[in-house]
Parts: sequence; structure tokens; C-alpha cells
Amino acid sequence: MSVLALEALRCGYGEAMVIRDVSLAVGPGEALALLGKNGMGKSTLLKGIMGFLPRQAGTVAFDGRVLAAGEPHRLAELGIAYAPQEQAVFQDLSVEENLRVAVPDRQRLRDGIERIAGYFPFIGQRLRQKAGTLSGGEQKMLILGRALMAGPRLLLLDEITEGLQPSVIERISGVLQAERRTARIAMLIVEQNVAFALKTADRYALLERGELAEQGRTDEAGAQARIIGRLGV
Amino acid sequence: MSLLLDILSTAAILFIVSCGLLLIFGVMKIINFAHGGFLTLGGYAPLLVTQWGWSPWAGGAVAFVIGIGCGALVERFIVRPLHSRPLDAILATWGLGIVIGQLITLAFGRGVQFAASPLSGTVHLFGTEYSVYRLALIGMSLAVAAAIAGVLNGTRLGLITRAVTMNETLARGLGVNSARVRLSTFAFGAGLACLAGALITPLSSVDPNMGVPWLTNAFMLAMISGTSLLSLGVACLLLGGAQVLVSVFGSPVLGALTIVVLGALVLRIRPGGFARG
Amino acid sequence: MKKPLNRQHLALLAVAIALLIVGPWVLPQFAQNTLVRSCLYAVVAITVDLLWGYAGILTFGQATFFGIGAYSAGLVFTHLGFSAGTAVLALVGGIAASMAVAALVGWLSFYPGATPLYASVVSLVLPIVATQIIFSGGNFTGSSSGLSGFESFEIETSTWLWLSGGLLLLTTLAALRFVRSDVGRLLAAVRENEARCDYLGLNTSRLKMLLLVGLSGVCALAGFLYATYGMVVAPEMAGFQFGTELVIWVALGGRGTVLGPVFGTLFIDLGSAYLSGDLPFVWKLVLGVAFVFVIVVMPKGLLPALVGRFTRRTDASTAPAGKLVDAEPQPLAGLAARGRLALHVDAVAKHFGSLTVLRDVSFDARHGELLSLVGPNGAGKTTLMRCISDGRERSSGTIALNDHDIGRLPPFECVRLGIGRKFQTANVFDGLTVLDALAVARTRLDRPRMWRRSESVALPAAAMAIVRTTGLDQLLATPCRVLSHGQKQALELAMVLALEPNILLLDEPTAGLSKPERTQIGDTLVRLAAEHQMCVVLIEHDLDFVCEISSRVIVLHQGEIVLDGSVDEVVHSTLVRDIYAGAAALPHAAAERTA
Repeated sequence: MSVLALEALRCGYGEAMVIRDVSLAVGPGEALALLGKNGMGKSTLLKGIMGFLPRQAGTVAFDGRVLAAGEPHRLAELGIAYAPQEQAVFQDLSVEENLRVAVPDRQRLRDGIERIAGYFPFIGQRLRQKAGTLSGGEQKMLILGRALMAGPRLLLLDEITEGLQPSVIERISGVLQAERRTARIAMLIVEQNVAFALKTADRYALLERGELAEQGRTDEAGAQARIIGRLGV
Repeated sequence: MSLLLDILSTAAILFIVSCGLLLIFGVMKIINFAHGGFLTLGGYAPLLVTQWGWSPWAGGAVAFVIGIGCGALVERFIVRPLHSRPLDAILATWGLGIVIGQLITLAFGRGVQFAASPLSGTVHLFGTEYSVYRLALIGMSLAVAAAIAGVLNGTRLGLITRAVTMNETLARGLGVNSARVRLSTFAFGAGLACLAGALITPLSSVDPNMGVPWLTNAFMLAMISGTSLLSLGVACLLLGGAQVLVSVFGSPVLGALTIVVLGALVLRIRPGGFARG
Repeated sequence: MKKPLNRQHLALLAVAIALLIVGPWVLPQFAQNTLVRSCLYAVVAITVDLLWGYAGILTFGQATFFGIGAYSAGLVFTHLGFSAGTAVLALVGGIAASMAVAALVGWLSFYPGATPLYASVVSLVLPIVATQIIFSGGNFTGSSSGLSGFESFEIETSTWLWLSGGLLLLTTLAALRFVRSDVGRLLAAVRENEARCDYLGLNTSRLKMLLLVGLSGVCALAGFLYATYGMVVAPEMAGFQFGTELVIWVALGGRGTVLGPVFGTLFIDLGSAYLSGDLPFVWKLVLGVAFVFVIVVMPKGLLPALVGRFTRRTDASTAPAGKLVDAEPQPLAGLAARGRLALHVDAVAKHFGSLTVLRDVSFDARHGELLSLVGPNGAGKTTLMRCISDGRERSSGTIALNDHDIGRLPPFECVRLGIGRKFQTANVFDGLTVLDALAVARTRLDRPRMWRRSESVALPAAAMAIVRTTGLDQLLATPCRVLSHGQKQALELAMVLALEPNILLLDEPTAGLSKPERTQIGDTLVRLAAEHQMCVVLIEHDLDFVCEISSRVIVLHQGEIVLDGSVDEVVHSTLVRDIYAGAAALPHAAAERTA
């Protein structure tokens, strides 16, 4: 049973149907990288899954259960963690408060901080600091930590590596692979960074003008070259 | 000296009257034009309480509870359907304020009435006689501010309310039911408005239209302060002080206009008001 | 060209005139008395509808202008006595004072960047201030009891009814004519999409202010008649309660219809006069509840729902279609004349608090160039475009358009320097037709008429070409709302070109377009740069498209220019490859060449 299953999904902004017809599935412990050029609709797809946009057609199913649009907060309760690309931290709240919004339970919060601080030590050290004063890279790590702390079954990441140094990108790739193995989290990773995506995910899908142009396994021979060639044109 | 006390107590009163409006403005980004109606509604609570023979101190509590109940109903049936039409939401709440005024008139009559004050008399302070109740209001405003700050910073509801104020979309994506936050904020804001009404009636009197002059002052102060309670405190001190000074050294009529005129000018020059950043 | 009135309108007009003539003979005295007042209220209600229903400005303050007109009569007649001379003085003085106050309120409420909420707040403050001033006037103004007992015209009630009814009829006709004119259409456009109007070179603040000032004069006239009829003035005439009642009548009658508010005011006021004697507070309560109900459930108002066809929305979108003509080529004169350098950007920086979005960006662009701005997300491209078209945006640095420094000029003034900006999401006027949208775009160059609707819209060659090739010329009467995404993009481009700019800014012009649409746009842009000698600057993610059409590419990364050169230089640059590292690598053209 797939954790996430999209069937002929069609959604967008007003009349511009950015996502025209997308079907895909992600199983438990699987990571699917969603690639494509800018403006192709990758972020829009994640917003559509979360229910921030009205659905024109098609369905989104989580663990076999069809989700309705318009109630994003329910998805978080069901076990979906979403890390948006822009404006993803509360600038004026402290690190600890940012985490607490996503994890209401005190005990789980404490355990979660301990676990995540293992990956990103600075989180444990700077709980009182205002999130807006963290560097761009630290904010991204906070976003990822927050998403993992919520103990989700499905992780939706939108360009988590944007603006990060290569060493940090390495670290994040390792964290995601570890979480996939131990916690069997399913992941849908939207990325512009092809190398990171191919390393971290086991499958990929190429989004082109609102439809999936190609899907495959990342360990296929020549996948990287083919993808780069396609994205370059 | 009594001038200083006047300024402080006026600022305190303005703060109590405006804080509910500020909360609603911060979370929902609309001005609740029924605020004056809620003030009036709360203002009649001490009358009721006196009629029932309860202690005058209960007036505030009764008003607060009534406010929360009415506020929740209003949010659910009038404000929520107008989520995407903010100007219409303002208009509908304005109409609601009128309806509340008419209902009160039907129930209590048009005339001016007086409620018993929980604290009466004056106290001799720094060489002048000053109303005990006015002084008590300074303390009460601080208590109200502390209570709100306590809820906002110390409870989960306060945390998610602050989150929704800053970025509603992000909060929803993280599991916060923003519809519930809006409901609770509006109810709480209405409750505060009613409480304020109950607290100010002992100063003068009650009548079905008492809320309106306070409404215009309150929303000027709220718009200047943005979303920060601290900014509101500062604005109340500055503009309240200006009002007192103009009333004393100019004329009371001009004094009544000070806040709205200064407020409009400040917003014209600095559309963000006093809010930082 | 006069638009022929259709039979329905003529019939309605005839009935109205008949009622007006016959009324004073058949109606009882009480009704006549009330109607004189109601008609004057209805005149003021029309002004509220024009401001709120058509221009989108919610105002509680029209009562004050009415009050100024009334008090002008009251004060002059009380203190200077009554005569033909003083009557003229009172009338002219009242209108002048009213307009002066309106100008002040307009300056306060409509500055560039003001929110509609602020304008409404100011309109609520105005009557409060006015009544307080009256209260403080002591014996001069009569304070809270007002002024009464002054002499006035010796005219019978029936004549007064002809006068006020006639004024109402005239005002209604004028308003109906006005909203169907070019200027009326302009107001609808401002209400729909003020930002787009700003970027079409329209001074929306001044437009709103002129409307307010003009309408305040009408209210003052009504107030003057009211005072001379009743021979009493009271502070309530200028107060917010009356101001609120006006809004209620307009909302219940049907905002944005002119006729709705007229009927609403007459019925409700007449009804109040008869009913409120018996149950004063219940009547007001019923009105209040009806008002809230209508706002929440039936925002268009009661009358449109009840009466259907008769109160069809009488504004721009129901006018018949016109046609397009070719514009006379006007040599670009004055500020918009081609400068030596089309675009000069010097050390421009933009900070949001501690976040630096643009740092030290400098480049020049000439007419005839097709310059593409590329770079990863968050590089600052849209911010840069915003800084170029709006003088208030940047934190530091200089920008010059056609050799004119833009300083801190707002968008509509930058447009006058020769720039046109096309937004990323198709930004048109949903409630207007295609022809209307094009007409609004031409406003800066072709003066709009206040009482007529121009049947034809003149378009310059570049805009005409787009409209023809995309088939929009067959869709002139279609509301913009139903156009497809690609059609809206084309329309917006045509609107911008109708401004006859010589610098064109485009934000992701190919977003959401199909392959043939993209090719079409690419050809158009190349032609605009080469044949029409425009300076075309675009932001694009489609690197293929960029390489096909650009003469020059600037790469932005983290707010700085990392490369500024020809397509070849960018394609072969290792730096650019690193920036897009691991991801979308080099464009196809380069891959082919190096293969």
C-alpha cells in the first residue's frame, strides 16, 4: 500500500492549470525525487497535495485514504510533514517555539530535540535564539529538523538544499537516508540540485509543463546524464 | 501632579479599551467595527449586576463571559463567511454594532443610567485629591496586559495565535487549525471589549451609544500599533497624554479629537505606525 | 457618437418624468414633505454609490459634505439675513467649502500605497470631527441644538417637490451617463486592479480625489436645498449616523447600480417616516439586521435580486462592443522620448531589514537590445525589476530611464518616462471586456471622455499585431475573466504595448504557455527590439528560450551580477555552470556545439 498516491491530479492558481495530469506513488521508506526546471510546477504540486490549492480533478490518497483539499492542518495531524521553500520559519519566534508549533506534546518535543540535535547540534545549543537571526543554512536545517521531529510517515521537502554549502548538503543527504532506513519515512523531495536528488532518493520523476515526462530509478545506468540533458533543454 | 495621574489613567483606560481590538486586528487583519457595540454591551453588565444584588466587582467578570459567548457566535456566523471580503467584514461588524445598540435600547431604554462603582471616593495623593477608581484602573490595565501576555507567551493557544499572526499559511502547514485560532481570538477580543465596557462605566454613565467615541479612538490606536501589545502601550501613553494636554490647555472638544486626528496623520506619514521593522 | 437609448430606458424615463409632474398634485401633504427630503437624501446616496459601488471606496463621510452645504445656508441666513445675494453666497460658499474639505480628505486618504481600510477609517473620522467642531461653535453655530428660524425662499411644498425631485432625476441621469463613459470605465478598472492601473501610467490617487471633490459639491448642493427647505440645520446632518444610514440604503438597494440606491433610499426613508412613529426602535433594529444579512448573504443588494432586469448593472461591461483602429503614430515626445541610454542602473541595492536581496547591481541597456535576466530562485531578479519600475523600492543606488533619474517616483510616473511592465501572473481586469481593457491602457495617451463612451480604441502597430495574431480582435466583447491563460498573457502584453513604451520589462513571459504560444511570443519580442527599437528586458527560467532570442544575458546570483555578456559567453562560462551546479546544466545549444 503506497503511503502517498496521486491519481490524475489537476490543480493550479485560478485559471492557470499548473499541474495538468500527474499520477505517482511513494511507498513506505521510499524516496521519490521530483525534478524539473523552474516554473514547471514542482512547488505547486506539493501545495496541491497539502490542500492549499483547490483541486480541479484527480485524487490525493494517504495510506489509501483520499484527502480533501482545503484543510492543510489535518494532513499534519495525519502524519504528513511539509517543509515549504519560502517563508518556512517564524522569524520572530525562538528556535524552540518554532519547534513547539509543530510538536505540541512536551515529552515528544524533548525527545525530538535530543534526537535532532544529534544531526544538527546547533539546534540544541540555541533554543532561545530568534529564528530570524539564524543564517540561511541554519534555517534550512531547522526546517528539516522540525519536520523530522514531528515523527511523520510522509515527508514533503521543497528545495531543502537551496542556498546551502556542499558540506551541509552532504550532511542532509545522510540524515534523510538514515531516517528512511530507521523510521521508514516515505519522502517526496522537490529539487533543483540533481546530484543531491539522485544520491538521496531511490526513484525520480521529471515534471515538465504540468505533467510527468519521465520516471525511473536513480540507480539506472545513464540516469544522471539523461536527466541533466533533459533539464538543460 | 494630578496632570501626570490623568495621563497615566487615561492611557490605562485607552489600553484596556483597545487591547481586544488589537488582538483581533493582529490575527485576522480586520478591524472589528462591532467593538463599540461590545463595549456598550459590557457597560450594561454592572447595571445588571447591581439589579441582581451582586457585588459590583462581578460586573467585569459577567461582562467578560458575555463577551466571549457573543464573540464566538459573531465570528462563526458573520465574520467567517466574509473571510475573503475584508471591507464587507468591516461593514457587517459595523451593522452589527448598530443592531446591538438597538437591542440594548429596547431592553434598557434610551436614557443615561448610572452603575454603582466598586470603589468610590478619593484618596489624598501628592498634594491633590484623586479618584480612587481611576487609580485602580491603572493597576487593572497592567493586570490585563500581564494576563494577555501570560496567555500569549505561556500557553499553547497563545503560541499558535502568535504563529498565525505572523504567518497563517505556514502555521496551517504545520498542523495549526487556524479557523479555531480565529474563533478563539475573536471571542477573546470581544470578551476584552465587554470587560473594558464594564470597567469604564463607573467613570461616567451608560447609554446605548456610549461605545462609539471609544471605537474610533481604539481603532486608531490599534492601527498605529500593528500587532504588538507593547507598541499599543506606548501609543496609549503618547496619544492619551496628548489628549489630556490638549483638553487641559486647549479645549475639551479639541481634546476629544486629538487621538483620531493625530492617529490619521501618523498613519499617513508612517503607514506601518509605530510597529518595529 | 451618441449611443441610442433603447426602448426600455425611454419608457422608464417617461414614467419617472410623469411621476414627477403628477406627484405634487396627488400625494398627501405628509408624503410630499417627506419626499422632498428623501429625494435630497437619494442624491447623496448616489454619490455614495459612485464612490463605493463603482470606485471601491467605502465612505461614511458623504454626510459631512451634505452638512457643510446645509450649515452654509443656515449660518449665512441666520447671521447675514436672507436675500437673493446671500442665497447665492451661501450656495457657492457651501460648495466651495465642501470641495476644499474633500480635497484635504482626498490628500489624506488616497496617497500612493494607502489601503482601502485607511480611507474608510478617515471617512469615519471626518463626520466625528465635523460634529465636534459644530458643537464647539457656541452661539455662532448653534452648537448641539443647531440653527433655526431663519428666513428662506417662500415656495410651496409642491414646488419644492418638483425642485428636489427634478434634481434627483437629473443627478440620476447624469450618474448613469457618467458610469457608462470612458471615465466611468476607468473607475471600474481602478476598483478591479489598482496596481495594474498604476503601471499603465494612471495617477489613481488624483483620479479618486477628483471624484471625491466633484461629488462633495453635489452633496453640498443637496444640503443647501435641504436647509433652505426645512429652515433648520442640526449637527446630525453632518454626523456619522447619517453617514452610516447612507451606506445602509446603498447596500440594501444594491451597490453599483445607481438606481438601486435611489429606490432603496426613497422606500426606506418613506417607510421610516410612516412606520417609525409607531415602533421607532424596532424599525431601526429591522433595518440593522437586514443590513447585516444583506452584506453576508446577498452582497449585491436586495433590489437586483428582486427586480432583475430593470436594475441590470449599468456600467462598463454591458456596453456594446466597439472597434479597433490604428493609432496615429505620435513621435515620442517629452519625458518618454528615447534617451541615449534606455536603462541605466548604478550600484542599486535593496535590503529587507538585515536581509540583503540586491547588492551593487550596475548595468546599462540600450534601445534595440533584448536582455535576459537569469539566475536561480531567490537571486533577486523580480526585486530588480520592481526597483526599475518603481522609484520607491530600492534602498540605494541610481536608476535612470531614458536618461531621466527616477529618484523616488511612484510607478505611474516611471511609466511616463517610457517604461512598461508586464507582470508574471496575467494581470488584467476581470470584470471588463477585452476592448475596455485596451481602452483603459490607452488612457494616458487618448484622453477619456467624461460623458461619452468612445466607440473605438486606437492601438499602435506593435499592440495591434499582437491582438490580431492571437485572435483577440475577434473577442473584443468578451469579459477578461473567461479568457484562457495564454490569451490573458497576450492581452496584458497588448495593453502594455498600447502605452507606447520604449522600454519593456517582462517577468517570465512564457510561464504557463504552450509551445506554439512560446514561439509566437519569442518572435514578437525579437521584433519589438529589432524593428520597433525597444529595449526589452525579461526574466526567464526557460534557458532554451533565452538563448534563442536574447542579444545579451545577465546572470544574477544572490543579489549580484555574476556575468553580463552575450549568449555564447554565458553558455560557455564555468561560473554559470557552477551556479546551476549539479542541476540544470548548460543549455542544449551549448551541448550540441561542444558535442
